[in-house]
Amino acid sequence: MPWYIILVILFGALLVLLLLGLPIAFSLGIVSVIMACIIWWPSPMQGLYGIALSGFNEMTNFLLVCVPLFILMAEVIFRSGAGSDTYEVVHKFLRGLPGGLGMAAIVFGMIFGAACGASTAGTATVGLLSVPEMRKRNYHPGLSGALVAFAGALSILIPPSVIFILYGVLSSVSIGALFMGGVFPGVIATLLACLYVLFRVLRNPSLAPRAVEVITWKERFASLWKVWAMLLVIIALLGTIYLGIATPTEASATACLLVFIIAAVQRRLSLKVVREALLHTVRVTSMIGWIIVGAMSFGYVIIGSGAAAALTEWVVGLPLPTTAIVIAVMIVYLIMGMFIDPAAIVMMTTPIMMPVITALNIDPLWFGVLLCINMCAGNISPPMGLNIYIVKGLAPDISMASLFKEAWPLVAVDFIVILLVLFFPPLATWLPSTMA
Amino acid sequence: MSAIGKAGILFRNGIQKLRTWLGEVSGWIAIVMMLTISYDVAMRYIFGAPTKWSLELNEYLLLFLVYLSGAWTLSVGGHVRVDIVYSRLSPRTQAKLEIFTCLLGLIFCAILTWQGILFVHDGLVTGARSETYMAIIQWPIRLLMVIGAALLSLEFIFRLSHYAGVLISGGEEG
Repeated sequence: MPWYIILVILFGALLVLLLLGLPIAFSLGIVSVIMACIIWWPSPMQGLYGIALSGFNEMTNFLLVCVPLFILMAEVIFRSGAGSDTYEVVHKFLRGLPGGLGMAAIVFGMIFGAACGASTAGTATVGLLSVPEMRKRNYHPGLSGALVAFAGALSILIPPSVIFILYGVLSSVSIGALFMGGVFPGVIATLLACLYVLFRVLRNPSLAPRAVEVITWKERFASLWKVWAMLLVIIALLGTIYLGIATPTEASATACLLVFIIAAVQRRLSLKVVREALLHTVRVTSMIGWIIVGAMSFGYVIIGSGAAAALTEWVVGLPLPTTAIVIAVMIVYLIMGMFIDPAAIVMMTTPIMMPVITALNIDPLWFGVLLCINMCAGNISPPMGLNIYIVKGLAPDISMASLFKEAWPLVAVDFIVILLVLFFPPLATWLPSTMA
Repeated sequence: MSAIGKAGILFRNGIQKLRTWLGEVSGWIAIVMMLTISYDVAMRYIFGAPTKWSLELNEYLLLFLVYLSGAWTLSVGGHVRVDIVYSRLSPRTQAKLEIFTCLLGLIFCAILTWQGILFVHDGLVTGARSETYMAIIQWPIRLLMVIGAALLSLEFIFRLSHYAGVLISGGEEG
């Protein structure tokens, strides 16, 4: 079977199963099982055994241990009320500006992103805190929902990030370096999105009615008092990774413990809070883990069938400059992002892309950052942007059509950041290069 | 109701209790991971004597957490899925679609269980151990995958029977 037919069948079948509503982890799994039987026929056992082993082997990895710990930390921060206190601060500082609550949602998404590595948790947190405020002030529902989805996606660009962890595990790029590579693009995306809100609201003030009550600077700084300890932990977390003092896994465990201690000292920790945080952590970790199992099976089949090697050969042989190839790959990722969950995309495509990246002499760190920004766009792009669905779940009265309509300009914001990093690689690579 | 039917319901309730319990236990596993790694960090940076077991133990705890909570996560709708088509269908068509997709999920998990058993068997025969200082015997760890995949297979079977019931009763519920 020619390699492109194999790839078309695999991805086509995957898309159909996803549309039918089978969870992505099992869609990946069943597609690879069937394909393995065809490819390894007449001795399919070999392929099936390989599938079972590949997931198991990939999961037995100390680098992945930080995934549940980062998730748990964000859960405790959110559920103990430290998240809403932080939102309060951002809200107080920004609410006076035109579209201030919209900007507050985005900036809070960036700050919470520094404690949170998964866009689902990020979106849920930003949404629960900021949607009610924006609704109270009669913000345009579609716009406010889309901003929340965008802000939630920042969680995977601003370190820590599950996407960077998964990419780092598969590409052997240092996870710490990837984390730092996401910092500038994340901040740029935040600023661009704020400018976008400002522009929209100045042109059409009815989208975001201004606040009437005045907040004094004293009140603003007073609100900071409640959150300084948590912010300090987050700064220490990123700082120790940046300075190379601790590995991401070590940093995740100690920061998580400190967050527990702070929440306990501030008397915000009840057994109920802990239990809910733990159950959510299990849910998200298990989901990601089973996606790893499915995606590794998928990768095993693509590599075992020879399609990956043939694809590499074909791409490398193209008479195109490297930049053009990277742009083409990014467009393919954007399209995939419209349909498939980012964690799954990264898990199933990285093993295929690594040989191409190596053959073309592309910096895998730079590529990983580009990929991650791309996944932010995928999280909010119609028709299957996961974050949009989370927002819809939080605020069911906002229509899907208006959410999608308002999401497109924000996808464009992410795309501008991709272009910036594409043509000025130091935006992604400079900070990691200064690490100890 | 027949004796087999009763036994089936007892079995289902038992398994569902087990998977819910495993979901809870997995959460406390995360706490154990946090504490052991923090302890290792403290020993390493304060006393200069890192533990020899923390790294490997936590790899296995992660396997426990992920595999043994899979069935519970499925039961609470935690596995990401796309419902863009699904949500527009009638309950009856939804039930038919669920039966189809659950069957596919079941096939994958059953194959994973079956191949996992071979993997465990291989570990028993060769007595494989980890290539670390700890030299941990491997088959019990591989067994985690088998149990996880088997529980997921059962969960898919329960869902199948639920949606088959919906179809038979006329598709008004569910």
